Amino acid sequence: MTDNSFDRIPLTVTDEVRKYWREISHWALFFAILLFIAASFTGLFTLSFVTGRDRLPAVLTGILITSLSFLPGFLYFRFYSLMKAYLREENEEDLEKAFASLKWFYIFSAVATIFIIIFWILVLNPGQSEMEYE
Amino acid sequence: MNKQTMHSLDDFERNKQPLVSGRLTSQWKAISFLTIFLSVFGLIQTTILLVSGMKTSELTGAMGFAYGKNRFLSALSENSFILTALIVLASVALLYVFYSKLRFSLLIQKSIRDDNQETFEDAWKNLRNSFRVFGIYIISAITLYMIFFGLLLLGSSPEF
Repeated sequence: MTDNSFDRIPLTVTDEVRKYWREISHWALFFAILLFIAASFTGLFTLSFVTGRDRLPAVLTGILITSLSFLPGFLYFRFYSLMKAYLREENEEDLEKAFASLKWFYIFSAVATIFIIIFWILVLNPGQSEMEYE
Repeated sequence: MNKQTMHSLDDFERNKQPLVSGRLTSQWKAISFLTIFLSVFGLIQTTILLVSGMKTSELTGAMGFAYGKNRFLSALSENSFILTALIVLASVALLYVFYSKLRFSLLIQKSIRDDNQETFEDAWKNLRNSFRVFGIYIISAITLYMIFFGLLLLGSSPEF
């Protein structure tokens, strides 16, 4: 029986990996720009509803929705800028921060997905619709 | 040059490259768990889109009703296979995006577990493919929406 543990080579950041990270970060920048545009439209759309006397709750809801739609774009942009800094200066701290941003982006996406699933369950609740028909 | 010497040279070249730290691998593990969840959900959602894409003739009929008499929409409802083909194409592209993301998640976990450099590089290649295809998909979708909107406006104008 042979022991393979001695032959193991630790993972290294090769030029090939760097090339993939560079392209991923460029696409992340593209998505960030699109998400910023979408967030601006969301902000304008929510502001258009701010009419009447009780403006404060509407303004606060508008700010909350706009910041929530701005966050994924910001996280993608942060990933891009930190990855760019790492590829230029080879500082591992930048790389860690870049992947931390990507992780937070996926956390945000997962939470949003869970909310969508809950929404679907509430909308397509068969028990509730049967009760309504009765 | 024999295979053994080439392998040693590869190892020598790789030893000059920066090593991956434990903090980075723990972040990649977290990312991979999240992407597994997101890609499985995406695969289910895209399959639903693919199935619903088969019912496009009803969709174009409803659009025609909503927009009144529009020459472009009535032409589209007569040739509904165009819309069906577009939805099928979009679904296939999205299935590839989520499949690549799922493969990235599984390969990055495997590479960390086995310290396998080849699997590690393959994992990032899959994530790159996922980003690239999704980017092309978004560009195509925006372009198609603009063309569709333009034709919709032209179809409703009396001069056209």
